Amino acid sequence: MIINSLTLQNLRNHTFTEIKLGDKLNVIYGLNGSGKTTILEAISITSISKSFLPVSDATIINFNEQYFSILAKGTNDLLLPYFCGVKYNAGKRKIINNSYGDSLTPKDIIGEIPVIILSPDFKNITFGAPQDRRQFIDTILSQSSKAYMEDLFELKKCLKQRNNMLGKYQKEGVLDKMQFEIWTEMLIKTAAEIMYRRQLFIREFIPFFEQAYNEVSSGIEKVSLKYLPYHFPELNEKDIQNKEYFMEINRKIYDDLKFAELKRGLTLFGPQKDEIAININNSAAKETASQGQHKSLLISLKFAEFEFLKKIRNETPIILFDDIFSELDSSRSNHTLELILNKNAQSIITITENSYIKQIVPQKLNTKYFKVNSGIVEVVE
Amino acid sequence: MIYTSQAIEKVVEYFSSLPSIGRKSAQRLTYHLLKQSPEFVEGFAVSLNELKQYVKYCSKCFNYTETDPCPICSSQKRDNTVICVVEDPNDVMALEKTNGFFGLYHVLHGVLNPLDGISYEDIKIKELIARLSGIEEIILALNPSIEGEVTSQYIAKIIKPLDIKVTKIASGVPVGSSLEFSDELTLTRALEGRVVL
Ligand SMILES: [Zn+2]
Repeated sequence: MIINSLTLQNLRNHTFTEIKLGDKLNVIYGLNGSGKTTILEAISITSISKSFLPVSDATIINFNEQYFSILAKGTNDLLLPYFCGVKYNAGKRKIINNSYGDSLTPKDIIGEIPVIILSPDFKNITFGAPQDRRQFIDTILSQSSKAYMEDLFELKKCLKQRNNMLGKYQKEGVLDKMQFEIWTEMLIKTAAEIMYRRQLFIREFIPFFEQAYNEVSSGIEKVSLKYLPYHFPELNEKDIQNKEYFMEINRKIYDDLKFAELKRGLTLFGPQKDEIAININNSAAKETASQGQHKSLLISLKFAEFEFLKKIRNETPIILFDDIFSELDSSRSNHTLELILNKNAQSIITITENSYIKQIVPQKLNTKYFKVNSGIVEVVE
Repeated sequence: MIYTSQAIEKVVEYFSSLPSIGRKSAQRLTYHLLKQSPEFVEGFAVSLNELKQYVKYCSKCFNYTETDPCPICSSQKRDNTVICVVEDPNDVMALEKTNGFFGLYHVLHGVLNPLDGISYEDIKIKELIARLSGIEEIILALNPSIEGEVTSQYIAKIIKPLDIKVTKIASGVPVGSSLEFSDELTLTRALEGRVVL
């Protein structure tokens, strides 16, 4: 997929911006707060339906306005035109249209423009809590399977309803036991569905991760991922072949925890507690990896995501790297840029400084530069 | 918002309190009414009054009706051994349009939803249980939301021990969509493809 033109209205400090992007590398530079990251957020909204930053839609509307709207027009790998428009009015439902229909839901558009996003915030994937890693794999899985997205959505609803019942029991001592059992069974079923897909995904993803790490790092470390569902025994090859296994274990865990759940007024099992361990030389990267290894791991996870999505969707993802070069030393920057260029995909990167990246981008390459200042974008020749 | 008339403001308030009508549409509707003849507005007001005055719940199926029991419940042509359970009156209309169902209905007026504080006492489940004598099949045709699914299973759990066949419309209705908006063909297929719970 290539986005040829992007129009932003009232998104943060962009009151009206229209840019024609290049097919290959696009470099957007400007000071902090100039609005360069907003351009990546706009692409994120038309592809995964929301900003990649942890912000709500209402907070990214220009503060003088009531709505934002974004239109991305592009061409897919089969050279067919594709567009996606998203308009958001404060307090209302997002209005989403694309080449295939009107008044769509986020679920309908996620995956149509596959994207790989890396921003300094994503450091937590290798450093942070399990939630950061779950979010990483959920973003990939959601772009590759609508069924998975449905299941995640059901899980969320199921947990809310079930926690509400548990909370009420804890506070007021009332519980519709029959209804509660049905919600529990619903959770067990949805949980099994999600866990089954997660473990399957991780097994498929590992080779991509290993390969990407080899390319990113010159080291000889062996890297891997391990799926660790909460409270589960060690997963073995035979057990994980079927969803029933996950249902059965979840049912057992529920049995063990049911009194604790009633006491705490909270659901205590399910995929919302999963961990996905990133290992380097067979020990948890979170504890043992050096600073440099963390950077290599993160970048390789993203390049692995690129190759994985490309294979699953049969469509070249767009690479969005937000201000990551400031985090890397010059040899790592050079190497990462080289890897980006090797992917032969459209990439859009933001930097604070113009001069440095120009030094490392090969002259002959068809690169487009944009300078952003207070929400105004100009093309730089 | 400051209006030049309190009467306008009142009507705008009422309109905008209706589902899916925003402030702007409410104003447009109000100004539209102002341009109409006095007879039109009078007729409109009277019909609104009559709505509350004459329309009640059918004491059997809890659909809206002016006669009790409603025309469907009192019809000789309907199969009174089958009840189709739906969420709200719109769903009865949608299913009637298919011309593919000849049994009776039962309108729950909602589904179980702990978050919204809707428990089984708040919907017409007890009333359904009360009318089961002589019934051979219950068809659950609730919207395919997770709450609809839980409500279906809840009802099935109560009814199955009574030796009544419980089925659920399944295939056809896309997940996340509402019964009210499904086309007739989809609904007909869904009715044909119902499964035993
Ligand atoms: Zn009736």
